[in-house]
Amino acid sequence: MIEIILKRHLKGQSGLFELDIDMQLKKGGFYALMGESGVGKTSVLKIIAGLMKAGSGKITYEQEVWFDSDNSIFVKPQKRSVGFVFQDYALFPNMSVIQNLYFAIGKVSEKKEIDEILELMNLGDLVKSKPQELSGGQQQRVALARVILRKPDIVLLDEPLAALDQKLREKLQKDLQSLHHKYGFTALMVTHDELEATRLADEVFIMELGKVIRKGTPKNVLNTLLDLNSIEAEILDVDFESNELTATNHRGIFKVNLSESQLKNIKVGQMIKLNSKDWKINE
Amino acid sequence: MVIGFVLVFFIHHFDFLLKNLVKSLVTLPLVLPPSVLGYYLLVSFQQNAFLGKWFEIIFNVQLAFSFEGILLGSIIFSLPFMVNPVLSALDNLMVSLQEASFTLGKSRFVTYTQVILPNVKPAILTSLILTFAHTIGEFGVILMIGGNIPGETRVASLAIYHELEALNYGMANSYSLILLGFSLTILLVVYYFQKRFKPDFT
Repeated sequence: MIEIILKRHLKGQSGLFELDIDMQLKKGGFYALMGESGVGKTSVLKIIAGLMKAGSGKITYEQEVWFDSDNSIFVKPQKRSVGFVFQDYALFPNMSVIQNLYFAIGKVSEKKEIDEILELMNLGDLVKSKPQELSGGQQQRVALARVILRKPDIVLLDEPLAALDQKLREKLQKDLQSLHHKYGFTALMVTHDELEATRLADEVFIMELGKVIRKGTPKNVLNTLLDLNSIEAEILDVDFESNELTATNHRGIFKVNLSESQLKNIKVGQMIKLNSKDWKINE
Repeated sequence: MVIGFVLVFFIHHFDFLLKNLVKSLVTLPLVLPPSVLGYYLLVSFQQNAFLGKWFEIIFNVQLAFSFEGILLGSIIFSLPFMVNPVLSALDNLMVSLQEASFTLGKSRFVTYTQVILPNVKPAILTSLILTFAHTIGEFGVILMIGGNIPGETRVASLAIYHELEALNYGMANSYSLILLGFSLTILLVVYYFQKRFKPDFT
């Protein structure tokens, strides 16, 4: 069990706000942390890793206390069994892929494990390359390998796949899933992608301005999230025989069945507001 | 150089109250007329001034009108050339590199020597070369605190001035040519290095 209770003032775009978090993670679970930009998701990860200090609170991993403001305990990031995966990969440009990995473990004797992870992440041919010669997907796979090699108890992922295109993202989601199964770490991932959260996470936390406002399984939480919002979309097509309307926005293509009277005045190209009860997503 | 590094480290890593003041002081020689800087340095180098006395007691060195004096002066007026390029390179370096190194269990020292410094190497080289070149070329401050003493504080740029005053155009010309060639070479080297260290991909 990982217990995270923390308070801290954060400066956001809309001014100062209070980060006030109380969350429990079960060992070995996969958790998603979601919410708008600038609500403090990354700060939560950094505080857990010890890269940022909380004003007050307590962070414990099993019996280990990592942070306790009442007893002035602060364990340095180097001493916490945490791996951090960054959106910009954070591979060291002065080292090759293999040097990045050796830097992580610090010993040369674990060659077998390196070979194993290189094969798992399909990086065998790239060991001598410099990070800047790799594609985004390859870089993030190296970064994941570098983190996993240290066998951390908790892996924190800060929008790790946000810079990748849809196809690569899906592939890396599968990689992430198999790594999680194989190594059994606890994962906490910040993501904006509801599909990604649904695929990977056992539980989702939704944050709003410094606080967790909802949590639960992706199905429950994300459905209620969608129910609360009606969406706007542009009408692509109206089929008067089946009374079906097709509309699109950045989330995808939606098909809605409407009554004849509702379809009467609708023209292709108009914007329409849809209630989430009415539509289904075409993947 | 060592002083420069220490300053860079402090300015970059600590968010202290007087940070902007320290940054301004380091950059000051860049905008201040050399005569102003030279005047203040000369005043503080005097044997009865605090800095001058202190140096005389500890190192048994007289600062005003001496080689040691212009050395110290050079360090001060070259600081912006040493500190600023490295500082801006550090600011441009991704924060996540340092954070990644910390979460990979590496100490501040290892992070510095193996991650951060190697990645600002071009900036360090550039600033070293520029500092050196600028020190060779400085005139005003040196004249003020060194006083153009032959064999002691007469540096190349002062020698040109001296030969010109004595109407020795030939000597002035050859000194000048040497300095011109030297400066041009150094700048060429700087640009060559900058190009070489630029990655092919970004």
